[in-house]
Amino acid sequence: MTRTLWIVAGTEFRRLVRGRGAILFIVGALLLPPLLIVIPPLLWPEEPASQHDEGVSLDDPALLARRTAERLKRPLVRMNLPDVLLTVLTDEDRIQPSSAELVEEGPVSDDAPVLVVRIDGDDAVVHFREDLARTGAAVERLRPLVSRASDERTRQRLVAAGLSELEARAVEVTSIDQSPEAQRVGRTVGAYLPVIVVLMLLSSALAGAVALVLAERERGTAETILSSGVDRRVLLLGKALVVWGLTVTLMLLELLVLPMVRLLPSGLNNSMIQGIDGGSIALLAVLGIPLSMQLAALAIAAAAWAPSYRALSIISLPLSLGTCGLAALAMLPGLSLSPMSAIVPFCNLALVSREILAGSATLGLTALVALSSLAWMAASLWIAARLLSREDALLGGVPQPRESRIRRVLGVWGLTLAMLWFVGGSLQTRDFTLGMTISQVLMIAGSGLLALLYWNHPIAETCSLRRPRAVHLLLAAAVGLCLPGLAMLVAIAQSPFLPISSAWAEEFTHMLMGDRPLALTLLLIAVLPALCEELLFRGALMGMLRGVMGDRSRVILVAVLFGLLHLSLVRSLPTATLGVVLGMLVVWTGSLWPAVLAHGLNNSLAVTMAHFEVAPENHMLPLVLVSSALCITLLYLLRRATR
Amino acid sequence: MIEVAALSKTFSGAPPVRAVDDVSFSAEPGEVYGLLGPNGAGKTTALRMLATLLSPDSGQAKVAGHDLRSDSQAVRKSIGYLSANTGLYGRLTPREILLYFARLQQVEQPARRCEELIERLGITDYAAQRCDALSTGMAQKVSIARAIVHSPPVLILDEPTSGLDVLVSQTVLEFVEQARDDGACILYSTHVMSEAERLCDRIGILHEGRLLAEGRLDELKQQSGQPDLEGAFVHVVRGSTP
Repeated sequence: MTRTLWIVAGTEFRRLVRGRGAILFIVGALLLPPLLIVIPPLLWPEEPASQHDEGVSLDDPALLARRTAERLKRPLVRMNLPDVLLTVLTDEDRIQPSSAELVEEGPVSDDAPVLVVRIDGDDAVVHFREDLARTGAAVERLRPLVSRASDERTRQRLVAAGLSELEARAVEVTSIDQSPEAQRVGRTVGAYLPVIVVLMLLSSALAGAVALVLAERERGTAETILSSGVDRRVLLLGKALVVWGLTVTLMLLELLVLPMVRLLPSGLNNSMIQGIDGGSIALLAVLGIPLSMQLAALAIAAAAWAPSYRALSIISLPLSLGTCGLAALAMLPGLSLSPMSAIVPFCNLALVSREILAGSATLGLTALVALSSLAWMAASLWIAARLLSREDALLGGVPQPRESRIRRVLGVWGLTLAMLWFVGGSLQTRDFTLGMTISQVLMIAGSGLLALLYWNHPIAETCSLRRPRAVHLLLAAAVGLCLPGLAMLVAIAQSPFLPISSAWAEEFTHMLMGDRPLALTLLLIAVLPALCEELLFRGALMGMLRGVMGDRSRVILVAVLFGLLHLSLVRSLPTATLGVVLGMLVVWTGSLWPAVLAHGLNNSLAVTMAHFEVAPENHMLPLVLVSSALCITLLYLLRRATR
Repeated sequence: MIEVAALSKTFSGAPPVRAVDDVSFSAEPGEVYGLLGPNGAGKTTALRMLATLLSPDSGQAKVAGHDLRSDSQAVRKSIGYLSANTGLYGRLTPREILLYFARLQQVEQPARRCEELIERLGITDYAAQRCDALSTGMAQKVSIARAIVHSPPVLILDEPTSGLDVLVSQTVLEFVEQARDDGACILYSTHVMSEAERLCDRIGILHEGRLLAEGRLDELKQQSGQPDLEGAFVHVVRGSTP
């Protein structure tokens, strides 16, 4: 077996590296990391050098405050916790503290995070930059102090500094990371670089997998090789070995190119580049080995699954987003390496790299990361072997109705996502009522209807627009009222991986509720989405997949797309769970309306809770559990009623 | 050498397609057994099952004494499979491809065997060129060499002349005759009547997955009362269509 493996690997390697395409690919891959590092700062220029960059510490608080004020271009009030020291610096005529000079009180300790209070028009705005605070523990430790400060001493200080009572009310908080320079840069680089490395490696692995697996089918050589005596598992391993070798080699070359970015003109230089030293590169090289093994196996599995180049190109975007998204999870505030996060693929490697660069990694968790990475790689290879054993592994290139329908569904979803991302979001920020109406009616429902018209699907039949039985509607309504509980249960279960930041939750709630009357909010958040989203997802998309996928598969696929469309990692899984329930309602009752009703009631209940400020805190867990159990019971009853 | 009993295969879909329906036949060493049928008759599916590329839903088959289901690895080692769609690795040369397959099939003295085939099939002039630069005819010769590099006792050939010009087709047909004379058992599918008349010792007519008639050329003509194979084929196929 070993001999055959080497024969396969040797030949596959020869096939892969020959040709001009390989050279172009290598050159492109080598240019990618510098471009990824240089271009973002050109598009989004960095703020002027912060106090950290110039080595300003709390030893010189006057300079620190002045620099921060310059950076913010705003008058500044600075507090220091836990002693809630307050300094005020402003040069604005309207607000005139004792002087334009720094006013400082009390001692400043090294480990005390600094809060920056920005005076913004009529409000005193306290910014709490959680991305710099990094750990959830720090945020949680600071929050009550900030609250106390804003309630008591801060307000007094601000009033004393010349602000009105209203201005002194702190509503937003910023902390500036005061940790040592090396640790701070390590955390930033450690969180950012793995995403780049994942992207680089995945592109290499996919290119290799396309050439060695998918091209076999497209060129008709799959029949030849599979009918020869070679064992399919050996064949697959040989290919995986070559793809992995290619990926690792390119990664090492790319890492060698990274230091050369320092030679770029100063205009193109940025803090990312400054953070890349020999140690970072060596670490990334070591982490790149398990990472590239996982990505090579994943790419081989994707290429074994894909029936054609087109199919692979379609799934390569969600695949890249998924892997990079998992790696980017490490940037979330509050997420650190733990026994739970150490088994999340890609995210675990990003976290461990961050911990190592910040000098806080432990041997046990690092070993767990390595073991889980190996397990993920083995799982991907096993899936690839199963996929390659399918009979239709030979029939690539023949468009199947199933594939074209799935492609259409993904295309409609992608288009809707793009419209919401680029247009809908900004419209909603400017005018929520108008933006929400346009997003729901034109972008969501409109794209579903257009798709049905374009591909000649009868609308009523495809979307199951049938009159439901009264008992089904009643049960669906009851399910809808229990759905917020189920969604909360999922949110609580995922919170160790995806903690919900309070600031985000507040901002989200504020955006949803605004200053509108409850009736208008219910119309915008409950009625419109229930109609429009159900028409697109459970109606058009699930209808288009009828007959080409099993009911269970199409419900899950559409639910995942539904979850992802909400453009929030935190909301994706709870929303996808709702999608599964709503999909089951449509399949079981044969009508879209029970799902519309359940969706509308779910959203109405959430809006009403937000309106009356019922927050989903931990003490609600028993209620959440009861509600979820009730939801499952009602679904069981509905299933029985529809049989 | 090839024994097929009640082999069936259905592809899922809406509606499901019964591509091969209860087909039975046998072929001996030194014999060319032709599977004759229109497009979509189930020839390729039947041959792919015998080459272990597809698994049958029901029925039994033995190839070179090895059971198709329980000993598929041994079946693969005993066959040379060639179809019209068989591709070559474009970035490798014919010599490299032959050497690769010879090594995979654990041929003794693989380099010597490859050179022998290169000379025998007239590949010498382009043995060092990359396969993506070869013409269709040249590529088909390389494919033939690849299929027989391990000297298999059974050859499964699925419309091997499809898309080839007359001269290259002649080469393929001569190769089949030579292999038969050397004692190989050959299963040959085609829808070209003249090829079947020239090559096949026995012929099975396959239509909509079912084997409608089987026998020697003269027997088929006699049964159908037609003067030639084309007439016999049309008679059998039309007679089965309601």
